[in-house]
This record gives sequence, structure tokens and C-alpha cells, in this order.
Amino acid sequence: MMSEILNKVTAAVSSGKPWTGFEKYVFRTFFIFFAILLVPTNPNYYKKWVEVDWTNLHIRDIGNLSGSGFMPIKVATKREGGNDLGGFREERKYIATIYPESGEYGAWSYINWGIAFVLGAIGGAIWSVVDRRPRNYDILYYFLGAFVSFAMLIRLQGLTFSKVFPTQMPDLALTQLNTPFGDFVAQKLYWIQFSFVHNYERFAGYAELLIMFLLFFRQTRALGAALSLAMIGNIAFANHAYDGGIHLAASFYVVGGLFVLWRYIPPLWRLLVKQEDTELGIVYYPFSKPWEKALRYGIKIFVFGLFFVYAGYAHWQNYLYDSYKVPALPGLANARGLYSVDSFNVNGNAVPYSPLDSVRWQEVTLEKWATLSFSVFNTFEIHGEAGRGKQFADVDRTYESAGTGGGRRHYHHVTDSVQKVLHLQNKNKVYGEQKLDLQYERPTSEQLILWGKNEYQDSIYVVLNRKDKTYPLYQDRSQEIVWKP
Amino acid sequence: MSESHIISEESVAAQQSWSERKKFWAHTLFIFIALLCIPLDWGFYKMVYFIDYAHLNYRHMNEIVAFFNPQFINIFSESGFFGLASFINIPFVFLLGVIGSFIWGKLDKTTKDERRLYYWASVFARYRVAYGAIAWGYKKMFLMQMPPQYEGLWNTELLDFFAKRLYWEYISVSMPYEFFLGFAEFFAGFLLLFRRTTTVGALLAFIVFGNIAVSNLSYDIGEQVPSTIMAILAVFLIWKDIPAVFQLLIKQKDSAVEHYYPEFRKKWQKYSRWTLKYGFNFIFVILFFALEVVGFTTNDFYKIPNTAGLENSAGYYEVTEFRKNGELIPYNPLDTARWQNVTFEDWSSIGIKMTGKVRQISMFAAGSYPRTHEVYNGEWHFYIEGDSRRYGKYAEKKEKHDPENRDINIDWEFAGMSGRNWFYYKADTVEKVLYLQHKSRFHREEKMILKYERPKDGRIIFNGINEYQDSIYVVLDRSERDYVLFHTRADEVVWKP
Repeated sequence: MMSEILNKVTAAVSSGKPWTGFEKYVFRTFFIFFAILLVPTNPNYYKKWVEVDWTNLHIRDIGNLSGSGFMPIKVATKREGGNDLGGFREERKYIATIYPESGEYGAWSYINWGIAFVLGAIGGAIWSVVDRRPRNYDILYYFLGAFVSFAMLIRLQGLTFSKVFPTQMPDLALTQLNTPFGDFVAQKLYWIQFSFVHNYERFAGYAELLIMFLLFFRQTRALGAALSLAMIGNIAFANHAYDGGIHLAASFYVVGGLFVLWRYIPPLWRLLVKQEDTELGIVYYPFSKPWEKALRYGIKIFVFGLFFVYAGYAHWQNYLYDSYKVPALPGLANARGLYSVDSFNVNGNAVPYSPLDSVRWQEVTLEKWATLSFSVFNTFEIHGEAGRGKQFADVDRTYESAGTGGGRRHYHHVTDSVQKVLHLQNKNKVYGEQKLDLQYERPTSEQLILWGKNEYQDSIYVVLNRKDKTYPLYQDRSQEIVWKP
Repeated sequence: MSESHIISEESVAAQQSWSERKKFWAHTLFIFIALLCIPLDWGFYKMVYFIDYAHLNYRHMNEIVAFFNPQFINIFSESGFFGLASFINIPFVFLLGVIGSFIWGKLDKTTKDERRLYYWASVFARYRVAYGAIAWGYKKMFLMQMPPQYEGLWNTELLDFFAKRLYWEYISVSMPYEFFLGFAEFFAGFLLLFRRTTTVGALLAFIVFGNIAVSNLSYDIGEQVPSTIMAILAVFLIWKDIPAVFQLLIKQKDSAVEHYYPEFRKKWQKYSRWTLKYGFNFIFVILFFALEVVGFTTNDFYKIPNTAGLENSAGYYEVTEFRKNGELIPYNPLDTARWQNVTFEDWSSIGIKMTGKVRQISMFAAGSYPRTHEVYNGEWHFYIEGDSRRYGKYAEKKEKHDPENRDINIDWEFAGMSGRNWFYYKADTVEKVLYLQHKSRFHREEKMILKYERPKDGRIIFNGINEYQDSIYVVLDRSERDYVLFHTRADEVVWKP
């Protein structure tokens, strides 16, 4: 069975001095641990390789083909909307779902890794009992290192190329610009550091691309592992500090990076710290037979073609034509801007300005795309989801709205420019059923008048005037630093 | 077992002498590295001389060790402040190296080889990067560089921030992360203090400072030159190990690095080495740490005022009622006479949001940032005293210990952002009067004298004369509004106004 096959494989590739019992046990444990974590057991994953439309591969599909995690237990939160996946279908089956107090962010989120490790430790023990012959796992160790490296670089492609072509953190929406600092959750502030200036996002993308390249070649694997440990390890720490939400994906680069780097540490230590004469002492599989060579090059060329070249191209196209976190449908023509609410009538009665009114709108923004947002000083549930993921529908693309408090509401809208109606739908999943149809009129290019029924079925009549604002955030360096409110 | 590759003085002497060309470049490199490491600016020494040592604090240590960079040429252009031209002093220093090396070659015809120079250049670079990294590390580990946030900041829209300031504030959201970043800097510096861990420390320093240089360029922070110099020095330290690592990892051959350490045989050599090494380490690692602890524990954050504000007044206030010269002005976000809202801090500052008040924005810290009179006219300026923006304030006289004016001179509340008018106040709690003064250096003439009443918790009533000599009457009510930034994981869902 499994161990028989392994015996044959290892016998075929073993040579040299036999390993000690402890070495064998540790190696077997990690072998099983990484096999469980990295070899997809979800049949749907394999189906995708067949079902996917190869003539028109989307960045979503490349992500799906990049791997499938080991996840018998789902770590979830009871926050409303918190487990929402937007447009994604939930295809997995879980043995159990747990709702730890720390939500999906704390130590409990690593439970599946813990299970895999325990299985590895038990499996390693059984394996050691069954197979008592002297063994040398140098070659298998090499293959495991290569396998982990490839899993790391393949899973990194989406994060890499969506930063190289800045779509992971797209431009800030006007509604975000018009929201005070304290009205964002920490997670949001962490993500948007890349959203107001994209050069640093690109730089991070190039660094990740470098990691992918370094991991791709056996000679540079140690450098790739060290760099992924330093850079993505930092990202993992930050994701814990800010509840960023992708701490699992990032922490994998700490575990994998350490594993790959591990065998290089003693020679590097001898060379650099103890300042001694050093040899590497790592056995590489020679790939001497022609079929071995062909297989090796075949796999490398395929991985490079799909996960470097095509993934880069697909992300570039996505960046150009359909930045995946930004709604695609254009908004009202030439209406983008910040608007002050200069008149607001409810059922015919004028409601005067007040920052404390619980019905009156304040600070309306219209985006380039079809999103209208405003603040109302009233209790509401903020988005549970984090605005991540590659969503299909505009209404699910919530990067602009997730994690915003301050009474800010965001509506996706479809414009009927013949009847002059905006069909609005609340982007917050909790209020997804709120659909408003508002008539509109634009007497001048700077003015927008809306009327219709609000979510309480009261008639409202709203006069909006575009505000002329200065944006220090986007100020040219050569401009004077004077603020005109 | 393999042996250590440390070359002795004897074997150096026995080796062949270097070619003229090799010596020329060795001299050049030595001068280049030395000038990057040892302050040459006259202004720096003036500053050190004028420091008020009776009131020595962590800020002085920072000034001495964290900022120094050779900055003789200043190009007043966009690129000269933020782009490629801002690096002009690096090739300039290299040019000085070439000229110096030329003269050196004329004067010294006897020396056979210059391994010693390489050693000394490494020592300079090691300690320069080590102390700089430790200083920047302390700045973050003690939460000084990105200090705790405050009411006025939470109530400023993102579009009113400069990119630089917004980048800063993303870091100060998470104190553990700021500490972690600082620790990475400190650790790199600490490793550089020891011979054997130099390469590892330099590698970490290169990653840290290279990253800082890129973020400085991306967000127009303004410290791209010093951080690039640190990264260059780190590369210099790694340089000799690169062939060996390449040999080991990529060629997979046996490899070793040659090291040369001069021997200090004479007594005075031993003692001077010992004194310098432990003296500097004591000052820039241990004493500095102690001063940071003093600053941290005595609420002496250099960016945050520490005069206590009105008791229990911190918060965000809605302007419930506003009268100017007796006339009631109703709420209107577009009205220019009325205050829109007010923030009170734990310390004695308030930030008033007003509409239509054109204001000069202050830029924070960073001596490399253009001052208001430094316009982009493309001119080149040469300052023999070096970094004039940084050391300018120490130009002529002894530093004066002036705790009275500490707080009004702090402009952190509004540096690199707009949106509010910030006033410093002196409170007369007996007569219940606030004497307010605009904090911006450009608008200090604006003063207000306001009597205050606090009829109940959360309400403050002002009555007095504003900066335009109008009499005003203002009723402020503290808002209980909720900031989702402080939501914990358990209560992240609902926003209550």
C-alpha cells in the first residue's frame, strides 16, 4: 500500500549513509505533514482542471488551480455577514465548524495545521514501526523541499501579480476619501496603505515575484526561502496585528520557508558566522535518465508557462479592463464627486441641516463606477466581510465599502437614463434587500436632484451640489501646500 | 574539520604588493565609505557643541546618530527633494573620494597594500549602520516615531491627509506592529555590533533600510537619502561574502571567506580600541536606551504635547449652538462663520473645523522636506555646513531649555494634514478662562480669549472674543459617536452614532 510504494520510491533514490532513527522520524513526520497540507484531497479541485475553460482562463481560475488547502474544520465567526464569500459558491464539506471567541483571526484558526501535524507525528511513528530498515532520505528530502518550494511559488502568483498590476489594493474610492480616519476598522487601514500610492504596492509585487523566481531554481531556493521568511513573515505578523485576514496564507510562507531553508542554515552558519571553510553537503537528485530530464523540464516549463507567464498576462488584462475589486458598471456620466446635501425633504417637510439627524443624508459621493454613498447618523451594521476575493457581481465588490463605520451607506445602482431612474441596492449583505428606485434630474452639471421612496417608504426629495475640494492626498509636489476648504 | 580563515599580519606582509590601480580604487572606496560614516558637516559639530547637556534627552541622541547624512548640495527642484536628483550628494562624495585618492597616491608611494583600509572602512560602516539602526529601532520600539493617535486625527477625512502622514498613521494603528518594525531595526543594528554576526546583521539591515528607502520614495516621506546610504553601507559589508555564498549555494562548491583583522599590539592601541568601542556602545546603545525609558515613562513623546488639557474634556464635540456678536447662526456645513465641530485632546490643544478658512499646511519632521521659501526654481545651492535644514536651529547659540514653549512648538496634530485649525490653550481654572493661540507657525497671531463653563459632563460653553475680535458664544456637546477603529473582534458589527 502507501508505505510499500514509499518504500520502493525511497529505496530507489536512497544512497549514502543511513540516517539515525530520530532523523528518520522527524523527516517522516514533516513528509506526512506537508503531504496532507499541500496535496489536494478535494475532488472538486481535480475536476476544475478538466472543467475550466482553457481558452479563456480567468485570474479566478488560476487561483483555483493553484491549490486547495487541507481544511476539515472550518473556523468561522458568528458576526452577521462575517463568513460571506460574496459571489463564491461554497463547495467544500467540513467535518465540523467551530466558532472560537477570537473569531477567524486567533490561534484557533491554525487548528487544521495542528491536525495535519498531529497526523504527521502519528503517521511518522507508524511508519517508523513498519519500516525498520536503514534508510537514507537525502534524495527524498530534496524532492520534498522542491515540492514545498513549488507549492509556495504557485500559491503566490495571485498575490504577486495583483500587486505588480495594482488590483489587490485598487485606488481609493471617493467615499473612502470622504470618511474620517477613525471610521475605518484596522484591517481596512492596513489594506489601503497601498491604495493611495501604488508605487509601493508595485514594489511589494516585484519582491514577491523575485521570491517566486528564487524558489523556482534549485540553486537559489535557499535565498527564496530566506526572503519569503523575511518579507511574507512580516506580512503574516502584520495580518495578526491588524486582523488583516490572510494570516494563514502568509504564515504558510514562514513554515514552508523555514522548512526549505533549514538544511542550508548549518553550512551558511559555518561560512558566515564561524568564518570557517565550508561545504554545502546537500545531495541533489541527478536527473540523469532522459525520461527524468524530460519530465523535470516538462513540469518546470508548464509551471512557468501557467503560473508566471500566463498568470502575469491575465492579471495585466484584469488590471486594464476589469480591476477585480472595483465595480465594473460605470456610474452617471460626469457625476463623480463629493456632494453637499443642500436640501432634504421627507414627505414634503424640509429637514434642516444637522449632523445629528437620524434620517437626513450627509456627504454624498458618486464614484466613477455605479456606487452612490452617503452618511446617516443612525445605528447600522457594518459589512461583516472584508471586501476581499475575486467577486463576479458589482454588488459583491465591496473593497470600497467594507469595514467602514461612521454611518456610511453604500448603494450599487443601475442607471435608467431614459426614464431617469437610479435603481439602488444596498451593498451591505445585511441590508441586501434594501432596493430604492429614485428619480433623478441634473439641472446643471454640478447639481443632482433625487426623489422617490427611501428604505422606510417615506418620500424623499434631495438636492445635491457638487463640492469643490482640495485633496492634499493627491496634491502635486509642485503645488503650494495651502488648504482651501 | 575546517579551520578559520583569519589572515595574520605576517601573512599580509609576506604577500605581494598591490598594483597601483588596485590601491587607487581602495583609497577611493575608503574615503567614500568614511565620508558616508563620519560627519563632515560643520553644522553637525556645532549642534553637538551647542546641545544643552544639563538636559540631555533621547531627542539629542537621535539628532546625533539617526539623521546624519552628507548633504552639501541641495537642488531646489521637485526631483531634488523627492526624486533622483536628491541623491546628488552620493556621487559627489564619491567624486571627493576620487580626488582624495589621487592626492593620496601622490603623497604615499611606500605602502604596499591596503587591507588595513578595508578593515577600517568596514569598522566605520558597521558602527554607522549599527547605531543608526538602533536609534531608528528605539524610535519605534518606544512608539515615538508614530505616537499614539488622538481625537483630531480620528475625525479627519482621508482626503485631508498627505500621503506621507496617512502612511505614518496606518502604522500607528497597531502598536505591536510598530514595535515589531522597530525591533527588526534594533536587532539588525545589534548584530552589527559583533564581528561574527556582521554579515547576518548587514543582510537584515539591507532588507530593512532598502524597504524604508522605497517607501520613502513612494510616499514622498523625504528620508530616502539617509536610508539609501544605510542600505549602501550594508551592501558594502555583505560584499566580501557574496562570492563565497555564491560559490556555496549556486556552484555548490567548498567555500570560505577571507577575513583580515589587524592586531593591536601596543598598549595604547589596545586601550584606545577598548575605550572607543565600549564608550560608543555605552553612549549609543545603553545610555540611549535609558534616556528613551526616561522619555517614555515621563510622557515626553517628542511629537505629543504634555501639558494636561481641561480635565475629562477629551473627545469630539458637536457645535450645538453658535452665536456671533449675539446673532444665532444655524448649523450649515457650508457656513464660514460657524464652527463645524471641535476636538479636545488629553493635552491642551483643540482642533476646530471651520469652513472656508484658507490655511498654510505644515509639513512634519524630515529636514529634507522643502521649507516654504524653498521654491522649485532648479537652482543648485552649496552649503559648507552640510544639512542646513537639520542643523539650522543650532546655528549660532547654545540650545535653550524651554519647557514653557515645548507644546506650542509641537505641530504633530496638524503636520502633513489639513482639515482643522489647531489652537494651543493656557487654562486659568480659577477664573475659568482659556487663552488660545493658533498653533501653526504661519498663523500664530490668531488668538482667542474664551471664558468657559461646564454645566454638566460632556458640555462646554465658550463665551468670549475670537481671532477676528468678534464676540462668540458656543455650546459644545460631546458626541458619543462610535469609532469602528476601536472595535474589538467581538463587537465589530454595529455602528452606533
